[in-house]
Amino acid sequence: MASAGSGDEKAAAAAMITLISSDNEKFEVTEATATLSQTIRHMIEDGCTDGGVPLPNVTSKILARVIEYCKKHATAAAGEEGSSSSFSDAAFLEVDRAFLEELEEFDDAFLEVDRATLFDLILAANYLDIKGLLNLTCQKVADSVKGKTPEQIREMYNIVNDLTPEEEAEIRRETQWAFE
Amino acid sequence: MDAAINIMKTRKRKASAPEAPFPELSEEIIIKILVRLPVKSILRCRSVCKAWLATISDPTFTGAHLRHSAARWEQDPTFIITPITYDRLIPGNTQPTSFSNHISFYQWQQSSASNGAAARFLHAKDFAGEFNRQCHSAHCDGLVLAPTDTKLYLFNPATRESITLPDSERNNLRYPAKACHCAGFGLDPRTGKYKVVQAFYRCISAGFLSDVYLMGMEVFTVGGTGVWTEMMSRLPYPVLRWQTGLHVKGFMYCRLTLRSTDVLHDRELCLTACTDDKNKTVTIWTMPVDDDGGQGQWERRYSVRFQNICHPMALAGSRLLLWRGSVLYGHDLAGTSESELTTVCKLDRIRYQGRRKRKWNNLWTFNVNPYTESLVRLTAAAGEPSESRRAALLLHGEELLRMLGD
Repeated sequence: MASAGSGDEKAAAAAMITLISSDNEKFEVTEATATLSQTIRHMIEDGCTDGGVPLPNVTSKILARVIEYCKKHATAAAGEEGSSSSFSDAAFLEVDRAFLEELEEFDDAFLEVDRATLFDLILAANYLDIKGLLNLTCQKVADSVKGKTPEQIREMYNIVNDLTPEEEAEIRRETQWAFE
Repeated sequence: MDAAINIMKTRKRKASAPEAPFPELSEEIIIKILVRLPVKSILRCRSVCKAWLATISDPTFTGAHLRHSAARWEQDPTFIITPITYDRLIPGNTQPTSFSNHISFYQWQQSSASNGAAARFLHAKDFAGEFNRQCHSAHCDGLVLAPTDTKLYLFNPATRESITLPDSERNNLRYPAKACHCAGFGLDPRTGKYKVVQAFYRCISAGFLSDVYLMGMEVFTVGGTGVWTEMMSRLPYPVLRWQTGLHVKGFMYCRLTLRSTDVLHDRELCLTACTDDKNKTVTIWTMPVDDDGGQGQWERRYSVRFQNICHPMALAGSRLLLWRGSVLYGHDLAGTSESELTTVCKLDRIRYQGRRKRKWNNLWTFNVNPYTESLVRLTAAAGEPSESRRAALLLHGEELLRMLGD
């Protein structure tokens, strides 16, 4: 798009980027939303987003969710910038806190997905290099593993135990207390 | 029966929908997930499958986990507490005659404490009769050096690993008249090895006004040769006999006199002194240390209204955390320049996991250090030969002396 180099800030802020999912669905998003992804940010900087950004690793179903996340967090980022420049009184901090709480609630609700979707979100966040989303989703998986026995973890995530009984016994023996 | 149904269900689902099971996530992502777990969970995860065992056993994982732990510290400061109790105190004496040989570690987090949660039990070990008293401990990357009057111990309380350092021929701690109890512990960034350094008296000869001490230094490398190696660098002055050295970026600092010096945030030396007895003011000077050991100037940094010297421990957000005796204090840096200290935690009042009573019998004091949980091994097989002769830990006693003389 020509607006990126036009110098007209308003036009740049409203610039739209087209993302194309693996199943050829097109999503129009603002640049502010798209640049939460470092991968896309670099593409924009290199000026290779004309005609849309193909994302062959991300399905439309997952891309829609990723965009939902980015939209919410892009607004949050914009809000933060505004707060530091124009307001600093307690009343605004209160608004800020409410906003952060809302964002936390959004994240919690956002993670209410089945395991397959969660893994797809992790892969997409990793591929698109969206730090916040990657942290959020990895933490969700880590929380589900925390405090579980190896048997429970294997069952939860369809992991085949390829350790020999001797190896397993040896590991347990080394740190028996961790299994109690 | 239920389990069997569950397995069948999973298999069915797996066959019908192309689900991405855990092993299909790349190792890079598996690492990102596992570093977020507490050490105990990680140790369990080692027995999930071969791939996980290999991932977790790799030193790069230990490093990634440590970095994650350190980043989390900034958000939620964590401390490691060792209560020191005595066995016997003869009425009328100010010092107990013997202390407990039970060394225990508890982890305390500010965030969980506000929910009323107990300090979490990490590890305890009994050294029945091996020592009489514990000295100040030192912490680096999840490892704790617990020096005593006869032995030096190293712990990783999170993995419950511990080693007793070998007795030194140069510094025989069992001969009180000849022993120097000045040891420090830290990471040598040049070799990536953890090292314990201790000062020893090369010779003591009777002088005109006082005895003359010639000082030497020796180093013990974790995962190295298992023996103390003499260092090339010399101590220019006799150091304070009973102390735990301060460690900043691979450099150890020893006190020459009994002054309150501490390390803040692994980057700065702090010196604390009561500067105004009448108005009860404590002043803290700080001095940054560069990566190559170069030092800045001592700078008068904090002024606190308090009647006693207390030890700066950490900066958490806009709050300086200090410690004295059994209390952690907070000093709000955003407030007025000379504000009162607020009590953050009374170590003798909080709950300790696994203990019914809050009160400690025969409590003498607490050892407290900022703490970063880690998987760093103490007993890793000796790899390359010890590089301790390169004497990476240097001393800057003169700098401290200069300051203390002011």
